[in-house]
Amino acid sequence: MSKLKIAFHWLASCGGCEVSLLDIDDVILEVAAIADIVFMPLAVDGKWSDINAMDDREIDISFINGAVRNDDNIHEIKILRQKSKIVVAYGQCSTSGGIIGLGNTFNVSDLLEYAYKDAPSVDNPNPEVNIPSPIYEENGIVLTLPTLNDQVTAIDQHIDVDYYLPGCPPPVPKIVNAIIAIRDNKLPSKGAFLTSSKSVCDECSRTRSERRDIKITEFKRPHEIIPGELDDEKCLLEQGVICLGPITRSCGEHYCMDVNMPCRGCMGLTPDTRDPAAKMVSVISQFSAHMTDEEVKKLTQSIVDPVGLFYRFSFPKSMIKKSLYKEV
Amino acid sequence: MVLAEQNISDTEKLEFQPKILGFVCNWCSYGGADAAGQLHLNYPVNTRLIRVMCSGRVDPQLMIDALKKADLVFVAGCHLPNDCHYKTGNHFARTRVTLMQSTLHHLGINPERLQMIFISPSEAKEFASAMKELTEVASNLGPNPLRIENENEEQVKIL
Repeated sequence: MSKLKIAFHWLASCGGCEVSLLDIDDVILEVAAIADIVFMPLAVDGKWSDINAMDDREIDISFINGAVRNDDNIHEIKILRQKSKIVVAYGQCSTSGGIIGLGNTFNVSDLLEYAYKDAPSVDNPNPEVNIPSPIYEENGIVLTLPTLNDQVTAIDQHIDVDYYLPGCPPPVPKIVNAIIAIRDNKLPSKGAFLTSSKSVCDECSRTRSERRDIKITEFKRPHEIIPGELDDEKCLLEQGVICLGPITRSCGEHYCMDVNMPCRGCMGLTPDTRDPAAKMVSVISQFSAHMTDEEVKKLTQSIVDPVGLFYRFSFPKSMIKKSLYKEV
Repeated sequence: MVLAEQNISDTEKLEFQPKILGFVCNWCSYGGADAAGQLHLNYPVNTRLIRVMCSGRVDPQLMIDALKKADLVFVAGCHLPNDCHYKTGNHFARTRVTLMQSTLHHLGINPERLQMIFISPSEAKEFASAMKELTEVASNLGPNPLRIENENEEQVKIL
């Protein structure tokens, strides 16, 4: 039986998805048994000329992680799409923008200015000149760099994606299940997420009292909680800690809530959530019956960064997608 | 860093006609709007109303949907704290609007584009003057940067 040809490519990425492959321990031997890696910039030598020379659909599966930040990323995923039978969006960045998606809270010019001029650790003697630009010409030689796109996007906003493996990074049991499904040719229908559609709340071990008289006038951020102050068995939302469980896909066996941390939303949004901030506003508002306007104001002020908190892993796939502002 | 939108010039104000969308609760607010109609009270034609059974029914996702089509969106409910036909729907609507205003502000959109008002069935005059006031607020705010003119979602995907 011939081995599968697989590619593992990264775009705007932290590298954590590549590391997650090592987390699967000896299951990596199963991968080596069924597949040959034809392209993986992190781990093996390979040139784009080799990929370009392949026939269409010659690669069996391309796993793509990282978000689309510049023109090169778009160029590369289009080539991989053409040369692959199956494309899997691996990790949250390629699925819905991920942490990289928070780049949409800034304009590109401001990002560059901060990185090359204003950051406290930067010492740039000539910031007008020493800043990346798409074209540079000297002595008749023209050099180019990829241009940053206006917005960070997920890969399915550019190419057809066959399967999604969400998570930041994808949890080990989900990766292993995906490998087994590939080995046994038991992948679901095209477009599926290789994970549960249930929310984290559905599988969380904490108990919800669902009492309608709970009133919370101030939400605490994790670092504001005094150790021992919270009940280990009860729902964190009901105790005044913002947990994104209601809008997040469930992740499997080990949950952050089991170690007293609220869910951050790293598995991405449940299928029916179109905008995470809007949905979480609804969730938080359930605790506001019979509150006065002053109490509501205090509640609102206790949530100091709604954009970073609610949109942390899915900003490009939310309803507004980008912060709008102008510099003074 | 300032909000994306800045005050438009006076001449632009004269020409700009804002589009206002309101979610109006069946029991109190729609009753008030209906009473304003019966009394033939005058108010600007810029508002369109959507009747819902309760202001608490308005999902914040619908508020964002509305902000993509209108320059100003409002939710109208029964008076706090005890008038809601379903007891606490208006409490939730009030909190949702306040939290969404904060979120919009952090996204660089003027939070005044989303408003909560309270109208009882007998308050016909108050409804008409609220519509006048909201139209003036919307005119001063200028065109909504979120508003997409045609139905094609593609326009918002990648700029």
